[in-house]
Amino acid sequence: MENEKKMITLKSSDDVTFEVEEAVVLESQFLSHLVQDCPAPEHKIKEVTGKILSKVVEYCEKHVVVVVDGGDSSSSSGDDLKKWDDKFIKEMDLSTVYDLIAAANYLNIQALLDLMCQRVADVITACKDHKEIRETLGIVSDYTAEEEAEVLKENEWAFD
Amino acid sequence: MSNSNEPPEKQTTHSPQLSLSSLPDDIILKCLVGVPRMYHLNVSWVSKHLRSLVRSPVLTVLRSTLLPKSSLHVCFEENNKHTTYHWFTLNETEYGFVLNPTPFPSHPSHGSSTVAVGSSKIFFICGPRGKPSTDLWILDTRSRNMIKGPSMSVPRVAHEAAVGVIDGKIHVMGGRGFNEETQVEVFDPNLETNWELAGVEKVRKSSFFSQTSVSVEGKVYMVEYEETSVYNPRKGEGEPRMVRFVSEMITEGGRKNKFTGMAHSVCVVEDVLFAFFKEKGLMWFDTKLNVWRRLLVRDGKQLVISSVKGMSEYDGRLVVFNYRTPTKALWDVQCILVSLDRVGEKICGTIDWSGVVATVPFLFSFQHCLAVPK
Repeated sequence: MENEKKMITLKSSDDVTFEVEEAVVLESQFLSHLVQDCPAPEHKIKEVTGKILSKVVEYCEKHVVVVVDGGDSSSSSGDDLKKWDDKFIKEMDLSTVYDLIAAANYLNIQALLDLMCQRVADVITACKDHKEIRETLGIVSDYTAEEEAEVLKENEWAFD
Repeated sequence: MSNSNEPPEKQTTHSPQLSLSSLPDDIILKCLVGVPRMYHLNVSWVSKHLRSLVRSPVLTVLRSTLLPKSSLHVCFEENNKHTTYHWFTLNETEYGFVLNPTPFPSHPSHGSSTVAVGSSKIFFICGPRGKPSTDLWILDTRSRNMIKGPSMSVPRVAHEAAVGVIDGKIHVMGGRGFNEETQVEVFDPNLETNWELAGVEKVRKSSFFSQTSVSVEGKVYMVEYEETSVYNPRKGEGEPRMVRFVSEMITEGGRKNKFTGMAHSVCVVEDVLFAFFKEKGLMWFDTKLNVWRRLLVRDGKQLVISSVKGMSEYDGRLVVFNYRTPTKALWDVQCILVSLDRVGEKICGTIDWSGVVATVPFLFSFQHCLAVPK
């Protein structure tokens, strides 16, 4: 290829820098526009920490490579990518997931946002009851004691 | 990665215990779309905030736009001659549900084992009833064309073969006699190339009842008299891919009891296996403990289902079809829509709707009901 790969530097809120190929940046709608509108060599992303940006970069780099390779589309590349996604989310604690959701939402990376939201959904589904959902997801109940007793009474089948 | 020399800007600190509630509502709703419908009641008990989101019409709209949709097709055989089949599609009208005739071309292969997968396609495996066959026929429910697919290597008898879909690929096993060793064959509907052999397994599948194999959690479950077999193709060398469990159910007192019932019909709703047993009624399979559990009912709303012709998933709910007493030369086809609520190891069923959806001639026998992805 005659075109040399264009490199772009991203800087996190806590000043960690990442040098990535332009194709990686294009995975994010927000960054695509930013890079097009402002051709500076370095872009500061104030809303995202280095820890989270490193995860975002890792995800986007993986997904760019596969799209390019998948030109002659074998279904195994899709399978491999799904396995990689599974491993990527399994190793993550929930507070990282929340941060990544916020980052993917802000940077407008739809596939990453979908993946992280599904992880939250899977955690909710794996909880055995509403109390475990509260504990796991850090949710404080706004039901009063009376309202909660009412719920239990109406749904005896679930609690006996 | 390198730290620059600039002084760090104000640190964005996060409390270590971030909460789901810190995310905006539109994001929480996006998360809730991925939670199966049967868990919604449980989620509504977490907090009033989550209750309002889980009940909000926005979630209903999101679910209908983001989740894959299915059509429910029902097939009847005419006169038990294994030649003529009639297809219907379940539709919702302002008065309730009806089965409308659907002009799919009738074909002798419609009596075979079926599986629906991919977009709008039904796969008929093993050809017409009775004699062993290597046939694969594919019905495109959109164009209404029947085409012949590549043949299997092993001739199998429909209804003795077990069929399931794992990672989008059709797995067929058995069909050579009860508990005989046979090749497992795998077909990728996306590539539509040839079948691949995937090792030899013994399949205990009798032909008395209709299809009693389905795929749940990436495995094929075969519900048979006295036992349930599970085929997991991901198991590596040294570990058996086919595992069997003697059928046991949890009784009222929480004890495990063996039972010997025959499953008349099976289906999967939101990745949970449901089966109808003549004596025990509707039960679901707890894949953690490998036991059958009863479908519970709420107070006063008895879920009385005494026989089942076929059942399937419909929009996250269980749909059950049945024949009612014939009026001279006709059958009334009864349909019951059951919404499901799951809390831990309990699933409760509530009848949302029930009624007659079609009237068919007395000689129509119920063949299949299939939720086909649109």
